[in-house]
Amino acid sequence: MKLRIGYGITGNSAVAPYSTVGTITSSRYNWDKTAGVMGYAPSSLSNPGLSWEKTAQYNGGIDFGILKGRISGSVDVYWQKTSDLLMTRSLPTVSGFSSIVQNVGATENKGLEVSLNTVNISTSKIYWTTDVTFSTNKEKVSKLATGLPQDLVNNWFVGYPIDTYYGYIAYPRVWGCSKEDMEEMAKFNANGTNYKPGEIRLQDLNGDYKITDVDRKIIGSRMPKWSMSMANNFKYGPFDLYVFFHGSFGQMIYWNPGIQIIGRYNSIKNNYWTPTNQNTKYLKPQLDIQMPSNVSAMYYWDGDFLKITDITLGYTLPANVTEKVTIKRARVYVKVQNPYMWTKFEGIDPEGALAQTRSGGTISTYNDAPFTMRTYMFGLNVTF
Amino acid sequence: MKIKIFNKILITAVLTSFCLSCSDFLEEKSYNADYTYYNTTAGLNALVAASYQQTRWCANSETMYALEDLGTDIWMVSGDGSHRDAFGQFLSNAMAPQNGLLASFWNNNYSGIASCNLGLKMIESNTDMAPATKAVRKGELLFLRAYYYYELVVQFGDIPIVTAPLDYPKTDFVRVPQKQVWAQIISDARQAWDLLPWADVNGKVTGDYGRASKGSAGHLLAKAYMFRYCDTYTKSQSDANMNEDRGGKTTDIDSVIYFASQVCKFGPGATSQSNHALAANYSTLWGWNPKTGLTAEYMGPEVVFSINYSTTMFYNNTTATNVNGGNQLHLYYTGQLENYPLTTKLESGTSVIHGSNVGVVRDLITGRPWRRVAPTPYYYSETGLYAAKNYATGKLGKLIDSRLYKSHVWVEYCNSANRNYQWAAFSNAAGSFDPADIGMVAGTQKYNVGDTAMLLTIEDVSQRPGPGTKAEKLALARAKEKYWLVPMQSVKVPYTRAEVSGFDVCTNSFPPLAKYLDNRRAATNDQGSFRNVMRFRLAETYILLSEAYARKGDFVNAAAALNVVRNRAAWKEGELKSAHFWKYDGGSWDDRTKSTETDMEVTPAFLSSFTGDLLTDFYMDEMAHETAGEMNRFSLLVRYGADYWYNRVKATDYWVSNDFGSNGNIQKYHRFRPIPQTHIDNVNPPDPKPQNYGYF
Repeated sequence: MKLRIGYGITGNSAVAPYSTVGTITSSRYNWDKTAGVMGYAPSSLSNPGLSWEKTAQYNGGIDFGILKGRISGSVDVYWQKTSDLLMTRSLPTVSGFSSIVQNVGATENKGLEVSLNTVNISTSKIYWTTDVTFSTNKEKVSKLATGLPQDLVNNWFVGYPIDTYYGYIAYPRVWGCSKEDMEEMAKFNANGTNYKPGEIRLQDLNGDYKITDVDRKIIGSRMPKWSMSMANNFKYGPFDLYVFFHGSFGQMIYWNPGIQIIGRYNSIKNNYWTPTNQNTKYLKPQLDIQMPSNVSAMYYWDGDFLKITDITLGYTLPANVTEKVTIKRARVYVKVQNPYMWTKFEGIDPEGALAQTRSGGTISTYNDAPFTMRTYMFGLNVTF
Repeated sequence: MKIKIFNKILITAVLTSFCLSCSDFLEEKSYNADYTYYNTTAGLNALVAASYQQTRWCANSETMYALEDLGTDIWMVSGDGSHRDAFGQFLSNAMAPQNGLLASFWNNNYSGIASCNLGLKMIESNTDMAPATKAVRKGELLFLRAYYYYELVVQFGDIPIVTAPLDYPKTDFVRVPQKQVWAQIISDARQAWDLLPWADVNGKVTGDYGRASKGSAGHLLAKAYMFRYCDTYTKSQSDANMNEDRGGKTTDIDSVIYFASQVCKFGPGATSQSNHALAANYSTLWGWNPKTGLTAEYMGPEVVFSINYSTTMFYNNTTATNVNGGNQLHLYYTGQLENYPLTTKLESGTSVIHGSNVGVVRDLITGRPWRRVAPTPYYYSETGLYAAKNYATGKLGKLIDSRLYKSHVWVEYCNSANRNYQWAAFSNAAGSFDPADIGMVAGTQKYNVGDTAMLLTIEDVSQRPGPGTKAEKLALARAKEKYWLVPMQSVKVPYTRAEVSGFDVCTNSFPPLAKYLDNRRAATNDQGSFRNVMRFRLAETYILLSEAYARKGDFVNAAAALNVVRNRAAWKEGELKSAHFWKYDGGSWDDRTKSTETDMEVTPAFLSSFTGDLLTDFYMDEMAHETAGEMNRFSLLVRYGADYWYNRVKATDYWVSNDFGSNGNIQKYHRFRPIPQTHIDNVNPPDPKPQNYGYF
């Protein structure tokens, strides 16, 4: 049994040079028809008030082993407090610039990491071990430099993670032709909108039959609430089996599956609305509108997943057989990578979604680019 | 031994490279990294050049055509493009604060303004640049700032004003009443007028073509004063919420006359040194031959302010190899004519098949038809844009006004040997045709590569005498011609978005605008062209001048100023008119080279016969004849207020007026665009009046 305790303060000055003076960038123009001139435009606001970002971290941990090492593991907790957080913050472009790196406020991170290694069975014939890890991190903005509880453009809210999604919320069903729906739509349309059956239905949070900016709310975060992994090793005589799971839970993915069918681009085959196929999640195909407004309210997906990442089954040939051909040890195995995944996400892989980028208040949509592949392998290990 | 020599070479090489990198390091200048660079002459010149960059926004991608032309009286929804929802149809969920194009426009112009603000501050402390040059650069920056604010205030009305560079992240912006913005624009442009020299005979200022000149400032002042003067009309709108107080002064109309006549060097009291003059022929401006392409890009004295593009792509502020990085306007006003199917759809729904291949395919000359805006039926109608009422002699514009034919491409030449369109006997309820009657042999091809394959006209064939429906008459008319005929008032007018992109409908297949076409692009599908955008043109200044005189009741000078433009617009003696004249428009073969200068002239009595909105209509039609597709239409119409704009667009553009099953299309409050939500959300503390009336 070991106990670890730590405390430290670190600074971060991840700021481009000349940021305090105002940086410039090339912006070419021409007077001559065939040539041109190098222009230089201001690329950032001069920002004399910039300072360091400071992070204080407390951590503690216990390493333990009991029952003669049959159960061992560690528990780590940490608490980080960052002040003068350096972040790119979006600005009204009337200032000439869309964003600035600024000391925008303070954040807090609390986390717990547990790993547990157990030897479940250890006999001469059967051997089974399990390694489990579990981690959770709670991030929240504790203060904003503006002193306000929220910053709507950058999607920062005191008490919520930095990467928070905020926006309109779509009902799980589009507008239909039922009497109730038609009556509700008429109330909205009396206020100047033009909803029709088969179009996106947004939640009108304040019930004024207008979808205005106050009908937006906090939807979720890109950050998982917790993650886990589990590795199992079995051995039974000459056979060995390895199974590895991992998963993340509580995160949300911002992803456009090609909801709008406009007769122009390929999109996923979805259960779209038609007059004879009511109560669907997906919009009616329409040529009239290239980009239905607020369709991004349908881009939020539960990103929970649990994956089996690896199954390997091996067989070691009896030594008395292999030694006859001067081989010390020979093992054949079959391996499947990424054989199975449990998730409600309808895209290809929720795991890649965690790599979405964000700049200022703009969150890029997750594209289906980095997906994991299922691989089958057959192998032979030989030791001479 | 060999090894030793090798070692020596190696050591020398290492030493040399060390010394090289050493001297590089010593010569590194930090000046192009931060604002201190602007204290040098080179740096300040670089900042001024960069301040022009945002003027290119209008042509770099799908931007200004939507804000200015789409959804107006002369341009409507066409076969493609995502801005149609908001700007072509005013759908309430698209013409909304979330509209991305409006945010982009807002950001672009304020970014240009910030660049000018910084330059105007740095120029005061810069001691490196020669004072005479400094005065010109300051004038350029003031002109550009006024230009950017002008574009914003016309679209949005009340907006925030920033006139000094910021050195902290300011967020408490408040929209000020538009009259303050107009005062700012006029003050800046007046100072620019004082500081800037006239462009020389080659259009250059301080040796450079495309810099703002006294003429640019004068033209902008004339436009701004005219806009402000028009608040005599905009203060009492049918919906009081749309009343506009632009801070107009009684002297504004005199200011229009003063500045416009100095720029034109025309009329009493015009003593200026202006070198501006109209091009002799309206066609010279566009330099486009439908068979061979660009003859010469016009960069002459008619250009009052030019937005430049270089034939070296790198200087269009993109990568050197980006084929999509220049002026893209040639894509948007081009109708789809390639591979036109040779069929006529009858009212019954059945189609007459005339042939199998028109033989016109996409190339550098025929252009890439993105068709984002199409001329409205008003554009072609005999009671529309070129109506007889617009000419003192009462003749139709199509017979005397060369601008209708010179602004567009009306003919396509066969450029594919796969063409298959043969002479054939034809008969239907409208009549019959036998090729033998005109000496042609049935079963032979009508034309070969290089011959006319298609001819577009404005004709309404239902006006041809005889029996038969419109489509039957069209089918017969086509059978008789030795090329494929597309008479714009005879093809279908589509009323659903599903139909707008079909062939043989007026929204999709229309005569391309010649003004932006450019075959200097390396490949047919390259989006970036190299043409400059003639943002201000002297003909416009003349029409402004004429209108200002007319508003004052001085119809003698109003007629004299307009006749300069009208004279140039006329067909000249000996100039061969477009074949449409004698074949389809009712002109006689004998008159094909006769001058129409007298027919085009206006008289004081003729101009004074227009009263109230009719005078405005006259000048709006005239501006359209002269500047159709030059991205100024919305600005012109809203100059007279929400009611005028609304009534005129509703009467001429059926796409904005009819609701096609939805409710809530064009409203009077759409005269102002919605303030972008991204701006509203960013402002802190919130602006007490963040949004324009009507939007939420």
